[in-house]
Amino acid sequence: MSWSRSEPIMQIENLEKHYPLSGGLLSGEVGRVKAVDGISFDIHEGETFGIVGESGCGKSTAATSMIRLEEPTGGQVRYKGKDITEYDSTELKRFRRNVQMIFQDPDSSFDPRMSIGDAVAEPLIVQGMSDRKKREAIVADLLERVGLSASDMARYPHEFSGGQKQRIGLARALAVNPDVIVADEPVSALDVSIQSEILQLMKELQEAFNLTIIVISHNLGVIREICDRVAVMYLGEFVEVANSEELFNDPQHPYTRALLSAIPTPDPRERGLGVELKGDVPDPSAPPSGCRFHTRCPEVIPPENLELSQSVWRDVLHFRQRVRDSTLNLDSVAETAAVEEGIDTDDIDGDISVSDVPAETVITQLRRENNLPTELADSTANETLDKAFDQLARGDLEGAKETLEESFMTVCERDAPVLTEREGRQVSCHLHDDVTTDGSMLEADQPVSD
Amino acid sequence: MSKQPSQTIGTDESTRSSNSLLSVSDLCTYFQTDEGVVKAVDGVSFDVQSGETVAIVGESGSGKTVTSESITRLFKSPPGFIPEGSIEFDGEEVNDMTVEELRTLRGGRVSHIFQNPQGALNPVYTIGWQLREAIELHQEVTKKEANEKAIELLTQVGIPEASARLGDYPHQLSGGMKQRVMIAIALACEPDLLIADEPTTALDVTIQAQILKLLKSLQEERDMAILFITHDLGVVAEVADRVVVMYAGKVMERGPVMEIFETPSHPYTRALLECLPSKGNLGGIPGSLPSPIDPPDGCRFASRCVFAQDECLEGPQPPAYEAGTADHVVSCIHYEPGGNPDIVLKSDATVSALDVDQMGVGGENR
Repeated sequence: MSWSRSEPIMQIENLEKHYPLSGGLLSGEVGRVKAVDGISFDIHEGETFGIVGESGCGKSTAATSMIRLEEPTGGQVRYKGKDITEYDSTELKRFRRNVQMIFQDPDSSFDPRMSIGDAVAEPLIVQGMSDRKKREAIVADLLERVGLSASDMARYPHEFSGGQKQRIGLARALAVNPDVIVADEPVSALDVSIQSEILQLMKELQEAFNLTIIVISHNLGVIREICDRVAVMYLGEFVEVANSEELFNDPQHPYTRALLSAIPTPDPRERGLGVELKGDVPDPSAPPSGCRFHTRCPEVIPPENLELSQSVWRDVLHFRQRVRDSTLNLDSVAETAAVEEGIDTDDIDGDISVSDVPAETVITQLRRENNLPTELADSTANETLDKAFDQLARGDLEGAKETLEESFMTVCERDAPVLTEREGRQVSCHLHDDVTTDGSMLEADQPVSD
Repeated sequence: MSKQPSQTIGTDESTRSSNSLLSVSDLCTYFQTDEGVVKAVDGVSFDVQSGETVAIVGESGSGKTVTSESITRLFKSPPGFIPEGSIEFDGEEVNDMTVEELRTLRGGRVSHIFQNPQGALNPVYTIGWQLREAIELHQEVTKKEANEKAIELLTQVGIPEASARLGDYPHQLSGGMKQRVMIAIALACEPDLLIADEPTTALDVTIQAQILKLLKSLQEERDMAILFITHDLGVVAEVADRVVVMYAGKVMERGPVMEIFETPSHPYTRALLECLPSKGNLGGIPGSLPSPIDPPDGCRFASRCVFAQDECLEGPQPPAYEAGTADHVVSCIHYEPGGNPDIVLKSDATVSALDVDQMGVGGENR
């Protein structure tokens, strides 16, 4: 094996993990959930790399598929220069020793009927160490290194607190002397004061054993505390990869910015929670076109010649999205409008439909629900919206769809941005394109964040 | 509205303002178990005025959830019981209420929302059914009126096209949407007090921000008081007007939010603020919670406190001494009249929470 220490210990290239969705008459494949959709990064020996994102972004799947706990469906993972997807069973077993994982929930990652001495020794047995005395000596040493005592060996998991169990989890992972540890939400189930204890312990162990650590977490505070480099993940893709300090001090991607500003600061003078991201993470089986974040992005690039403030523009886009997905239920809007306006609906037979309620009332309700003012700053946008509202009030959803589609097309939706290197960090956002695909120049300066 | 803070935490001499919406004094909630009596809440006092947000903050095992459940006696009884203490809601003693009166109180003037909206919604009924049930339980309405009210409520909590959502089952909604539905159900009877027990802990930060904003705007519209239970000091700083810091069944410190964060006075509060990730001070608080069955004498935090002296290990939990202002009280002997609070306040062992840069503020150095 030709691997030198100057090269990355693990290289992940275009890693993909898609889950097929079956359905239909013959249970054929009807779609794919793209949990991880082409992520790439290198990690060097002794480094701590973090992957952060909201639930459902694919970060845990990324962790399990990069160490072949789940077979990746595409891409390459090279460990010390060799592709792990081509390993035979002996090589895989050796790899399993070199790479260990610790899990979020310390309660469910131990067998309640197995003493913790046996639990920590189990990886040693699996890897073929048959000498019981030797195993016990290793376990005793490990327990002391993680801050417990050797005499705890005979005790059972229920006798320990959550933080202590997580320590035992670390001891178990270290039993076979691994090079890499993958920690999936290692402290999320613990209290704040215990969290910092475990993070401190991970740092100490990393130095003592020269470990490479990959940390998966939704908690940016945890990531900031222990990671050297961080990748921010959204819907199966990395949107930004940077050094920890740089990322936190000067986030470049709008998603990173939004994520950072959504964290409540422990300072009552700084209330407000910054930019609000509307809506939930979209369905990963049908990710949005172009930039996957554009459906929630607070900084979508407007088409040229459109003069709207970013927040109004965002609301217009949001409205268009709902019309397009047909998640807009006109009859329901009409019924809600009738309730809100106190219109007497007793003489209507059956369900209320859009034709039973005056057009202005429906339009007022539509504007209210979608947060759109009656008069927009931009006259073209105004006309388009008025036309679309009229069509909707007549029940013509398709017509409104076309009207909106023509006028409000943005580069963020048309073209997928690529993760590009820029001053030592990688960002995937059209705001950082020097030239858009239209050929028009965009301001390269990043927009003023909140 | 005049605020007269109670003078004590652990004793019964508290003098309270008569117009508090909720006033809890010297509350104890114990649980009978095979190993002995677990003193989950052991002498807790605080007030909630109408329209304000009070946050109870503490780690797991501090008794914050049991405190909130005691207010409407939601805990299972037996084994739970309240040996002493009083809970007055709008001048009425909750401990003396009959089961029937408690039913009217719960979901009527006092509503709860919980951490896990998945577990709190019934999976086999539509959300419309569950909303209508909450409305019909406390109000005399026709089915049609209940339906209209349900639509109004969903619209108010930011769920668009409400009438179409009424037929949805809980599994068809995302976590954030489910929590919005829970809030709608809790608001069904226009409560005066909303008890929110870790309402955003199970949600992502971006969704948490949405829910916190929603709660704030609903509170302003309705002049509703919120009792917020959380372990997250960031959330406390975001929403609270006043803060109650709990540890091992006791109140350690109580005061206005600005003072708690600017001059945290109890050694426990200071240690807790120090532990926040991004404070650059790893290591946690050494030691562990004292036994809730046989708590030690003296201050409950003494065994983990760097400022503990011999007196800290004797007698009952220290009474609530004033720290700075009348509204800010601390249960620590260093604050007794004639004592020297600078031992704690000026110590190098702790740094004021606001001296250090916080998470999420781009462009600043640590």
